[in-house]
Amino acid sequence: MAQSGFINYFRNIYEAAVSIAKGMRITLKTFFSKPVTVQYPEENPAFTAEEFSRLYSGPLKPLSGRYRGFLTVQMDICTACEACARACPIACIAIEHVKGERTKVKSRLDAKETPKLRYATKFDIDIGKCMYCGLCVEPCPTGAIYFTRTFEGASYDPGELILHFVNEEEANRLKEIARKLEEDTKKADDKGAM
Amino acid sequence: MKEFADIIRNALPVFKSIPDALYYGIWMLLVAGALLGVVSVIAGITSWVERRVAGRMMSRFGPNRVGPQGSLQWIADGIKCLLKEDLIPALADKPLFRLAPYIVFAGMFATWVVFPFSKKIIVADLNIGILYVLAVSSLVVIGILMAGWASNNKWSLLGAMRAVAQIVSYEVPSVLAVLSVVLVSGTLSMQGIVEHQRGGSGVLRWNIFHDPFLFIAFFVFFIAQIAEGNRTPFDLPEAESELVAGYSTEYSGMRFVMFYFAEWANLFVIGAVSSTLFFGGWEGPFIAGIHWFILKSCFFVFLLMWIRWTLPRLRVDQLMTLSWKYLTPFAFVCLVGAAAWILFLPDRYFMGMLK
Repeated sequence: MAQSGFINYFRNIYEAAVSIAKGMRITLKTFFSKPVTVQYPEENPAFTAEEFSRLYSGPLKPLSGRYRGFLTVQMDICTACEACARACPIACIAIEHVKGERTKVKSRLDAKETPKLRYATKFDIDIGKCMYCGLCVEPCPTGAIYFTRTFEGASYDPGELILHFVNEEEANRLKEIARKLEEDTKKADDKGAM
Repeated sequence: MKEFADIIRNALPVFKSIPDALYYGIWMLLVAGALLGVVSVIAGITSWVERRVAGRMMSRFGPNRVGPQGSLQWIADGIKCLLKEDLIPALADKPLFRLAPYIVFAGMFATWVVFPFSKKIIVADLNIGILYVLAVSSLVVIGILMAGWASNNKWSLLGAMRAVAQIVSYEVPSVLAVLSVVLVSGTLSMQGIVEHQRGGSGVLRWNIFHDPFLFIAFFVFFIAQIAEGNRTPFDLPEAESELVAGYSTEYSGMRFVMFYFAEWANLFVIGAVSSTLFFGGWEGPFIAGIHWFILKSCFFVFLLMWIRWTLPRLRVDQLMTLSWKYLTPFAFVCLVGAAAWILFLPDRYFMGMLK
């Protein structure tokens, strides 16, 4: 220290006063700004942007539309092609299917028509295993499988984390239709053979 | 309050037959009870306000669930602490351990006696008012040391030792700063100090504007008071990152609350003493009265919270340096300066600009 102690003494006081004032200015600014906290159960970041901005006035934004929450499947346009199950690196998608009426379904994304002749009787996604990589979403020809913005799925039972997209009733109905179709084709085949 | 008691006694003949000792004794109990109620409510509300202020200063909400804006949080916390188990360590000095929180609280509570809330509202206008405040608030030191010693715990004892060293060191600049006010006012009475700051020029008569020495004395006094109240940035006795909770480590339940009760009420005490000595007490523009006293004190309470949530804690050596190398010399300069001022410029005030 080249300076004399006396000058240093007053410089210390000056610097203390200035730095305290600086710090107190910052805290006062924060004091008058809006809190950042999202009051979670009431203000859910998964809400739509309008609803979220109605409830919450801070600087944070709701979840992006591309947020990868739980997977969901729109069963009426699913062609049970199993492209998603094959794409899944950890095999958390399980699909079983039967043949059904030949129809055409419109893609969710670009309204392009795709023929549909297979119907899933089981479409389970183990969301506990899912790592939200999005590889299943990409190959889907109709955009039936996609991410939602839901993220609340805590459970005491790991079994509850397996999402079933086809219920038993529906599966039985489809199996029945498939059985009838098979019988019909068999009859037709028999006739043709004769 | 004695005048008020006399007025009632003279007005109602029923009271005249009661002996003096009994009448005034009951009266004292009533006033003390009322004051205790006020202090409790102020301490409780301060605890909630402090947490709210702390929250906002950190960009969060603070307690906002119990009652509107969380305003009943302090009642919920009080009830919770009342219901908690009151633990006493097996190796503690039990009588001292039990007694300590109440001594701390009593030391803080007794200072309220001389606060001039307004011209009429004062429990007792002692002619040694400010000396009484300084003397009685020193009782807190004994309580804290008692708590630290009786806990039979290293953290507690270290915290208590630090508290005592700190409070004793900061008593010096604090008292010297008060002394310069007393020199200018010519009285020790709290009412007398306020009366001295009254006059035609209103705000300009306040002691803080009286002369440059009193202006500095205020900052010396205020810093010393923060340190005596064990508030951040001088919260070494409780330094949670070093000493768990300092002298209150072993306390639980209601006894623990007593310490914090005293600390929160002490915020208002600091505010009240500061506003009485330097900011004209209940005197203020438009109508003088209790509202000005409360307003000024609340401003200081906010200022203390603001400082607390801004500044980091000092080191022990820095603490002592600040007291002995900075505050004490300045307090001496202020004392001598104020004495010279009243010798050479006896009737001038507002930095010597007005007469």
